[in-house]
Amino acid sequence: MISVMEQNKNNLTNAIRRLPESAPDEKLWDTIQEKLQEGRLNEALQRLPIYDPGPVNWESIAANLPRRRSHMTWWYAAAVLVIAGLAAAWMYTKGPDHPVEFSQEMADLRLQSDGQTETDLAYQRLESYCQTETLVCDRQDYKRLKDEYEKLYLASEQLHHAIGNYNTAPELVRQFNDIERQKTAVLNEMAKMI
Amino acid sequence: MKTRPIYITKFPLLAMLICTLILSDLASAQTTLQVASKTIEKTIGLPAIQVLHIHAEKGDVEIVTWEKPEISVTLQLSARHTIRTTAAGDLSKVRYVAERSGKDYFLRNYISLAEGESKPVSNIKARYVISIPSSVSVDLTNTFGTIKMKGLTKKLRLKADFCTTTIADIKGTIDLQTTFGELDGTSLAGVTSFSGDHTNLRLDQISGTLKVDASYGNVEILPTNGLSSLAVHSKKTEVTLSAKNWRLFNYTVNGAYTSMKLPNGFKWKRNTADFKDAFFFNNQLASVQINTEFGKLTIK
Amino acid sequence: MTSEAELISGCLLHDRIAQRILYDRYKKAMYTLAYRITGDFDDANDVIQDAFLDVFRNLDQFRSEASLGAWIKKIVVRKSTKKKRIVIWQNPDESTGEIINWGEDEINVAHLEAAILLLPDGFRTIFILAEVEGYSHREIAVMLEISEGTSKSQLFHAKRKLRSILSK
Repeated sequence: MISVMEQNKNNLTNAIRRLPESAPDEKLWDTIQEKLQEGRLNEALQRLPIYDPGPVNWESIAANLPRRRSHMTWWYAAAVLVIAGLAAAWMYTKGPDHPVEFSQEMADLRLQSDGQTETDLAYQRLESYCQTETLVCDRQDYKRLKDEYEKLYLASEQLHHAIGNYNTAPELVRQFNDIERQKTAVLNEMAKMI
Repeated sequence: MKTRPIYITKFPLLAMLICTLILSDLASAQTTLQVASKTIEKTIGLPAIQVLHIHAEKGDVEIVTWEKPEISVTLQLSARHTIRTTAAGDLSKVRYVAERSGKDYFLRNYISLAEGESKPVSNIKARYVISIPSSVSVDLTNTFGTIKMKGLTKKLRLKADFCTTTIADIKGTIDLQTTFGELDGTSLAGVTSFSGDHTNLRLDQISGTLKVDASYGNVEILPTNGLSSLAVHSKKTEVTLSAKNWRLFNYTVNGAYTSMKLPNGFKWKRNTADFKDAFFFNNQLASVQINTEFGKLTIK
Repeated sequence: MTSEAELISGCLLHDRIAQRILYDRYKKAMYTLAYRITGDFDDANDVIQDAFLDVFRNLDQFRSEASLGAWIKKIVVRKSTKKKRIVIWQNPDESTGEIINWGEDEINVAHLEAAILLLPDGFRTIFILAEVEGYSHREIAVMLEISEGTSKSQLFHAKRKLRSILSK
């Protein structure tokens, strides 16, 4: 004969068995996969080397640091002031050849170039295809397109460098965009061949 | 009396809100730059200079002609950065040359770094405004800038890389070499030659003789009746020749892997998908020879 | 070993020995970080010099909410991005969904380091801060004055670019 306690326990166990199952979010598997994949990268990142700047750096730093104050400090300060005053007087009488003028301008952030383009990423992908699609990629016309792309790439790099930060010249940005359009056209031709 | 638009009178708050939104949108797309600049002015008198040599980097070069027998140069060097002291520091790294050597005058801007000095981080520019007698020859090289020239009558040699160039009313011997960028020439008369790589070229009211050697880019030529000879050799370029009266010239046209659009009157020697030869002969003194590969040709 | 508090006190009194100990304690990690961001040993030397001078001059402003190392690291990051004029434009696109396949084989560390140095400056900075130094996107956003969204999308693009460089 089953005791009351055992009956309750059985009831509980049966009830637990009948609890509905839930499935995890589908994205969870993607996340697990991503973490497994990233694990290899993270392992490698842990093994990146550490570098030592060498002794020279400390000497340069120490040379620029104030020492503990001494009573001589005030004499040195006074001497520096006198020399600075004499130098200023000399410069004033000499006069600058070309005085520097200061003004302000507004720079349009839309005229700056971030340099990184989708075309270059797409080119990398086509290049990786060429590791298996050697028949197409060895063709003269494909190689000509590749040469053309690389020439345009170099030109856009030069323009990106010339644009730099704080660009105020829309002509350079127009040229950069024009070259990007040309790169896109070349890439499309290359992609069609593959 | 001018009345205000109804949306301002009826909805002043809405109008103010719209204005604020537009202004704030503009403001958020802008940042304040501190500009440090210095200006050099030179006047070069007699004995007369025959050739002006300019070697600019990131230069905005403007040359106009005048009646005075002297050359006037204003060179402004500038550095732009969000921090004033950085702009000023970088400006000190910008050097220039403005000196005479016999009948030649040399102008140049460049960056000079002392040992261990870092490269400038500011946006550096050089602006040249030059007035010269029209009989002075000009030899100009520029990169990543703009060029404007007008009124020269003797000799122009131009080498422009990644530049936006506008030249007008130029006579004499004109030698143009460009890579990338664009070149717009109006009213060029004399012996003109153009060699371009990835440049967009437009030559309007061109007379005398013209030789064009272009790879990639676009070439548009609008000749006058005064054009005596045109020779175009192009590769992967879109060439357009638009004349008020195209029948004033004799034509020899051939293309490989080129699409052609020619006016009625041209006769075909060969017209296959890949190779095309056509001509038009009208007993004219002026001749046009066009040879294209992998491009597009339109004559209209 | 001298405690952090003792070191700070000594440095505030311009004690050269305390300053040297502090410098020696953090120099390798900071130099390596500066090198990874700037991509150049000479630039890294300049950055470290500048950064530690800043540290010693402004040590009185250090608040103990963070560790001294974390505080110094932020200075080094700021100096490094300034040195290379690294500007990260706000671009919080939604490209973070794709899983990047790092392959089955162990990643060669020398190749990895070379590939990281080949990344464009902006990508490399975000990658180093997030993946090597372990900063959160929020912390990166504050440090580089960008949005969290930009940090996330830049990291994604950086990893994609890194993968393509490694696969060459």
